[in-house]
Amino acid sequence: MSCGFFCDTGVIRGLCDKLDAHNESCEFFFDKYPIETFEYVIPTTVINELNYFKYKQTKEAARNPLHKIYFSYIRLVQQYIDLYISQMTHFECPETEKNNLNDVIVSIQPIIGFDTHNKQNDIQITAEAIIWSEGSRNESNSLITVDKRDIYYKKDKIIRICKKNLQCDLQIYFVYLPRYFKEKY
Amino acid sequence: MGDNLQYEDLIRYVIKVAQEKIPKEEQKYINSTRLNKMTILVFKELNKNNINTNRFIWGYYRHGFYSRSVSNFLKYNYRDGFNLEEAQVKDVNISNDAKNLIESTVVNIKDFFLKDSKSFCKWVYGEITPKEYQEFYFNHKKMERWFERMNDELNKEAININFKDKNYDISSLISAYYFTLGHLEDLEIIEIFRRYTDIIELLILKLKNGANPSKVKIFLDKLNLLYINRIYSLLPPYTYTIDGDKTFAEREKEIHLLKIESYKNSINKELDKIYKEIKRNELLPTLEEMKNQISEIKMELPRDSKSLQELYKDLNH
Repeated sequence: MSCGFFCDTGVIRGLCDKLDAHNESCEFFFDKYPIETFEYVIPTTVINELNYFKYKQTKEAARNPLHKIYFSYIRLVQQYIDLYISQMTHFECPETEKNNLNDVIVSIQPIIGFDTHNKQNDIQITAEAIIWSEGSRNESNSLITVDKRDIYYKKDKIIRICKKNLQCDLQIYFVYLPRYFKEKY
Repeated sequence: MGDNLQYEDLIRYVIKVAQEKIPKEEQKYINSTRLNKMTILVFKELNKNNINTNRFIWGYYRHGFYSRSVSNFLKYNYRDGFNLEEAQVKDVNISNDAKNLIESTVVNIKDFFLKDSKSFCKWVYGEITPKEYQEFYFNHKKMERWFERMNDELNKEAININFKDKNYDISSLISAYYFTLGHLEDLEIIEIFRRYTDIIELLILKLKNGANPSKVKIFLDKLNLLYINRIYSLLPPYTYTIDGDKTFAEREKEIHLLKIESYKNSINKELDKIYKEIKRNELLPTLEEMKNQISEIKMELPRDSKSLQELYKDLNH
């Protein structure tokens, strides 16, 4: 069965950073579904978010030095992130789907909330995952996330409202990696 | 006093005095770089005593304190290369006060300019350079030496590098180097430095994991040349430290900033090209190799080290 996995920002960080609280569950998932065999998709929103912090951290290091080996570790993790991203499919919403994307964004804004920059990113990522899944040829499509509160816990509402507004039968799974790890490990 | 010198007269008189006061057999040590620095120290002494020099500018550039005025003068007047022993200078028309001060300053400082290369650098960067830039220059010298050592090692038949040895530990050196770039305000330059040093670290990790040393050497040579010819020129605090004649200092700053912009463009293209070639030659570490290296370094981290997620939260506040 062909599977596609749409990645949230926290998944990439969790996978690559051994100090991350979700490292074990993310590594478990990627070991079970290796990138060489399965399609991993990453949207521009996630790439931009990761790059933004990479640039900010680099600039910060020159002004507020960290412990030397810790900074070496951070650089290595960021290089690892870059390497992983380069092996993923980059998702950019097609022009023909931009109206649908906006409809989905507007639909899920009241569910997730949009009072913080993080929540706005969550809305964008979730909406793009939904649009991607509608156009994907994989038999199974999943949004993989480590965000329990804003994405995973609200998945049923999100799917319900999107099905109604898009008038289609959405076929996307929301996988919360720590829970997946707990159940499968 | 309130004298005003022409910058050409200052330089000519420094050359004349250096020829008189430095023994002939030692004059070969005073090349254009050293004469440049000697002239700046004399200029500063004159300035302290209210003797101004027209059109004279200087700042902290690639090899520490440096004067474009002296550099251009020497290139124009000694096209075949400056040699203190053979340099001919015209007579200069300056006040006796200025002459006396120049002579006494040259006599006071000449011995520093006769030191061997290593000692001279130590004196320039460690004693004359302002404290805030000292470590920056020392890290640059360490980077130069690292490339030399790697070149020597990779030329051997069987390489045997202890990557944890401080002479070969590039990650530690890069971290230290970053911490001395606080003077840079141009974020694009810091980003170039990040891209450049990331490539070096990836290459060395691959070498550590058994990559062909000859192949790695080819790329290290390219990266070394890129560093010497382009990247290093972006890093010194030159535009923030240009001093002297205000009008000419402003002009020099504008010219230098234009040069930096053109360097940035060419460097980015070159880094793209090098990265693609490294990838094509299978010299990028595999995901497994990266993961193992991260696990290895994690063992050495201080106990309270934050995850990226936590670090990013701090950056956001």
